[in-house]
Amino acid sequence: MSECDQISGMFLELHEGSVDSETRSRCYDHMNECSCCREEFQWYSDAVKALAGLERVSPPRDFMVHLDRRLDAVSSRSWLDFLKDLTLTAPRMPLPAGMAALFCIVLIGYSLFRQPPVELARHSETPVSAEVATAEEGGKSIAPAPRRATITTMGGDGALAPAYYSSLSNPSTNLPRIPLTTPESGMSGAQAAHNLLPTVADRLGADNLTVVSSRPEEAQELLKRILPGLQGTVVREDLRPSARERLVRIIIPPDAYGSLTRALVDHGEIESGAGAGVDPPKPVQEQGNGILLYVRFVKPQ
Amino acid sequence: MLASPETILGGLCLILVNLLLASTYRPEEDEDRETVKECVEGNRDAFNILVEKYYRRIYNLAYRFVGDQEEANDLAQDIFTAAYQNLKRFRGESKFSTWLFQIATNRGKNRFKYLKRRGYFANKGPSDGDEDREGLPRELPDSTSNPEDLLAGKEIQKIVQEAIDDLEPDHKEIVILRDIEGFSYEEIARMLNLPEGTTKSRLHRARMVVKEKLKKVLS
Repeated sequence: MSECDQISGMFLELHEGSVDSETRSRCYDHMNECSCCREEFQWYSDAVKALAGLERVSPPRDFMVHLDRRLDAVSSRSWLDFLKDLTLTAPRMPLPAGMAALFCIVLIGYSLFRQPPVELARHSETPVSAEVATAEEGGKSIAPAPRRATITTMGGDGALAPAYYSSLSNPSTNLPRIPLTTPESGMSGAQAAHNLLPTVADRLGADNLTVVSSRPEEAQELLKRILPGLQGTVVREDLRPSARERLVRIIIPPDAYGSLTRALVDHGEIESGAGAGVDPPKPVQEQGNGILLYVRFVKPQ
Repeated sequence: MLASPETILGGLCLILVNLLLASTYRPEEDEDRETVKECVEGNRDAFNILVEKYYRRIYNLAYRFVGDQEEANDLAQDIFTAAYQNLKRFRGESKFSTWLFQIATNRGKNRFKYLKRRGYFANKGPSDGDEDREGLPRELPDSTSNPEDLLAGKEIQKIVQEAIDDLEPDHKEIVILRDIEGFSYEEIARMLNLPEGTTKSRLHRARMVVKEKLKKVLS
């Protein structure tokens, strides 16, 4: 931008005297040397003077009379206009009432937000396959993981994992039923059903993990950070995101299972539970050279 | 994705702070406040007092927008009618005059756009005695009793009005409010809901256009 352009851009401030003395001196020094800018500024000042010097135009003498008639016509409104202005007849809401209303709305929203996520619908009557009986647990019914456990490996059958995955792509697919007896409590399935509903991860399979953490999103981020060191990768995240539960599907080398569980336990973000010395169960889902795992992060109840 | 409780709490605190700030805001002093209050309560005479106070300025503003006495009369009547009908919506957060001129500016601009679309200003053409402009003085005359200077003054007024008519609506309203009606930048910014900086830059551009027009005619 040339100096002339800069000076012309300051005509308004120069004319109104709202520039500092240094800038004013610089501008006038330039205009003393530059006849174009000097003339342009003179024209600018004349234009402003001409605008300010415009004579005031007087309204006609009967202006008030005509206006009065118009306002009379406006005053006699139809009931439609009254309905339209109905909101204007209500008094203005005082501030405390508005704040109280806002607080109630937020409270209701927060209460709805805090409700637990809807569990998966109970699956079909298909029994657990016979593969469960031949699993390493020796044919006993495989119980779902205890809810208060920290890091646990979950009992189940490997066939449930692909079934769950297929249910994601085809929601109409019913998952096979899980036996709900627990060896510790000896409760029947019916009794257990009253206390515990099978969750997503309960159906996932023998080698899948449940991590209990007060900050599941941070634990999830931790997992993503340590996976590259274990030569693992994340396949899918947050299949069913909610405030209390997060799910990540990963692939790790078969020999990295122990390291993974140790890393999750040792980091400190996650409460220790089963301990670092847990022997990994036989992986039931293979994916190329790795094993496929679901890692579920839940908040403590 | 639903927000975490911390986010909700933070948002709630922000809303509360804003509400508290809004409750401490004091509207500017308005000499018409009591009169407006009576108007809202249905006192027609109170409204007539306000009309009496402002109608000359409003008419002048309307005239500068449309450049014609008949149109200006109609526009001014529209402005006061709109103000009368919408008085209940006036919250008193600004002065009544600011609010009234805001209505006037909006209506004036809309009327100007409407007339321009219909070719009203093109049909008007240059005023009579255009050929006399050759003898116009370069210097803009001050108030004087010399008939020739008076005539020159009137011609200058017509030229300036034509220059205003050629402005874009956004520039026109700024020039009318600032240079003709004498509102401050703060008042204009409030009326037009613009930052002061934008107001000044628009005014500068509008003045430059008027300057060019004058220069072209009077050089």
